[in-house]
Amino acid sequence: MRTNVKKRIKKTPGQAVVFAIAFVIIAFFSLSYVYTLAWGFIAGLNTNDGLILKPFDFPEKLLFVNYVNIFSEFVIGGVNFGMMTLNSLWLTLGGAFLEVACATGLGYVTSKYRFRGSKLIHFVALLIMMIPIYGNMPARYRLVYQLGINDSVAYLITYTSGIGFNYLMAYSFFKSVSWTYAEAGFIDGANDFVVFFRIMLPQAMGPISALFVIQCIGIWNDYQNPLLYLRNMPTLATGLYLFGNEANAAGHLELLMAGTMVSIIPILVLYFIFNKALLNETVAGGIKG
Amino acid sequence: MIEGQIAEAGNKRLFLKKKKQNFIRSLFIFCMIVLPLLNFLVFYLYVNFNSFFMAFQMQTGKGEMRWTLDNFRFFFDEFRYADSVLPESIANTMITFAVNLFTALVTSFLISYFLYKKMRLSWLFKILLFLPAIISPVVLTRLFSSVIGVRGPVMDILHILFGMEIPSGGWLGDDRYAMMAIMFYCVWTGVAGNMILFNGALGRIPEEVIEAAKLDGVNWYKELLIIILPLIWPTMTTLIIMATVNMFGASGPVLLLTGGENGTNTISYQIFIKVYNTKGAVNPQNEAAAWGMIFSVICIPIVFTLRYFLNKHFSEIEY
Repeated sequence: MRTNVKKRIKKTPGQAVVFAIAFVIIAFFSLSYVYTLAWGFIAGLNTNDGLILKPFDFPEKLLFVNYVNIFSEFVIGGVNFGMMTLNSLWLTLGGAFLEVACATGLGYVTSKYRFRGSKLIHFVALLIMMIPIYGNMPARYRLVYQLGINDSVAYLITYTSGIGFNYLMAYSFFKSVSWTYAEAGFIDGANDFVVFFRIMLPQAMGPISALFVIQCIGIWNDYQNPLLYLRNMPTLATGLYLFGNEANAAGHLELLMAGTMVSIIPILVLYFIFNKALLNETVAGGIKG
Repeated sequence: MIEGQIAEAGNKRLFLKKKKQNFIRSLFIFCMIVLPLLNFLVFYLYVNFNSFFMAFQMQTGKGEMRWTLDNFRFFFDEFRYADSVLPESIANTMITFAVNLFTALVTSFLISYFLYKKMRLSWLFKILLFLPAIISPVVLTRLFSSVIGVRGPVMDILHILFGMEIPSGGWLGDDRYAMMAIMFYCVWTGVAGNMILFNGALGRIPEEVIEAAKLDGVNWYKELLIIILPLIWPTMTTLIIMATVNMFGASGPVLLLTGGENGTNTISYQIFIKVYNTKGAVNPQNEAAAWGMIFSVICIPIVFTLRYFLNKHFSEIEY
């Protein structure tokens, strides 16, 4: 396997200047994210008055209790912060599992089996990504409410599309895996289910895990869909948005900031654990046009 | 005779075994495609067909549904009203599209290139630059609006350095600066948006090609423009097409930053708000469906022409 590690090569003066400028710009952006996040965590330790009058001064007293109070005082429509976290959890884990599982299964059969419609499925999956459709939100909204799957765990069925980026990744991964492994399994008497779950799927666990993490991040952060379809079951993202609209007037900016920062902890933990997998497994080789 | 019967029994067993295998295979394929297929039929085909019909429907005062072209007429009438949000929405959407395209392609590519060349601390920058892509826009906008707010450090710095005035409502609360602030947010959070994809594409470039170019005396910017860019062009064209597909859907987090106030409306925000705020009222939804259809009809030929052009004039390099 080719390694990406390269030795630093002596640069010409012109190149050194350009790289120095690039370094400053990249460092500026990187530090701006760190500064903003650090300020967010400190703001969560401030008082409401402190956040209104001098939000960027270091708080006179660090109120760690704000991070505890959010679990009792951060309430939207009768739903507290704990319940919002729970809503985010089931939606994220369930949605990501269904989305990735469906994409994996579909990608596997269309790449490895020739059956009536397999090429059509692949073609349609690609075509859908190419067709710009903007106005279907009202029709989707109406359908979800007609089916009665809004404000319900049943809303998870909308995550079974199995197409899009996840499908393409699964398809191209399985396309590159040799069918010889499967044939060996069939000779030993295994059926298609056994071959898939015991032989092929374990080989794909790296990319699939990365897709799962990406999907988790996407659903955890999504605020538009839960705003529309889970109005009475706010997730952390929608809860923060709705609480933010009234926090200023209600005098609870400190709770808003504390809640805001707590909501990103799971994602940050997930990211720092899986960042290598995310950067390497998902796009080993980049994408082809 | 007996041998024949044995052979026949063997054949039958083989036939039954084969039949069972075929059944299991069909069952397996069915299990793998059934959910995505149902989802596609219900949440894609049905939804889009229904969206098409909704665009031609309107509810009367008596609650009856009638077929009409009024939703389209209302759309074009919007251009005649001075207080209409449509022209503003289209202009803002195009600005957002252009800014997003620039950051997604140019800045993302350049940053990926410098990190690929193993700049100092590139391992750390890779981790930090990806942060905006994983943190919720709800959180980022909350922090961003504070940082650029009236009492935020950005305003102070600009005031001290350039004497820039501080609007009483902050940039986001001022018609002159609100859209600019949203674009600033798009650049700030999107500057490394496609870094992962570019890293993957750059990582695929054979080192021998770069080494050979160096031996031939190619300097760094020629290496970038003549060697690297053509090699990662497939990634670039895919990103261009994907961005164009979302041309009229381009929108900063308008809902989170301004709620469409101060001249920051976009098309996708308007469609969203027609669904979200009206909570099931039929006519605004049908109007939104008509808006969506019009913009889809405009965008589809653009996407396919662009794809045709890119495929025809930029051939892929095999390596």
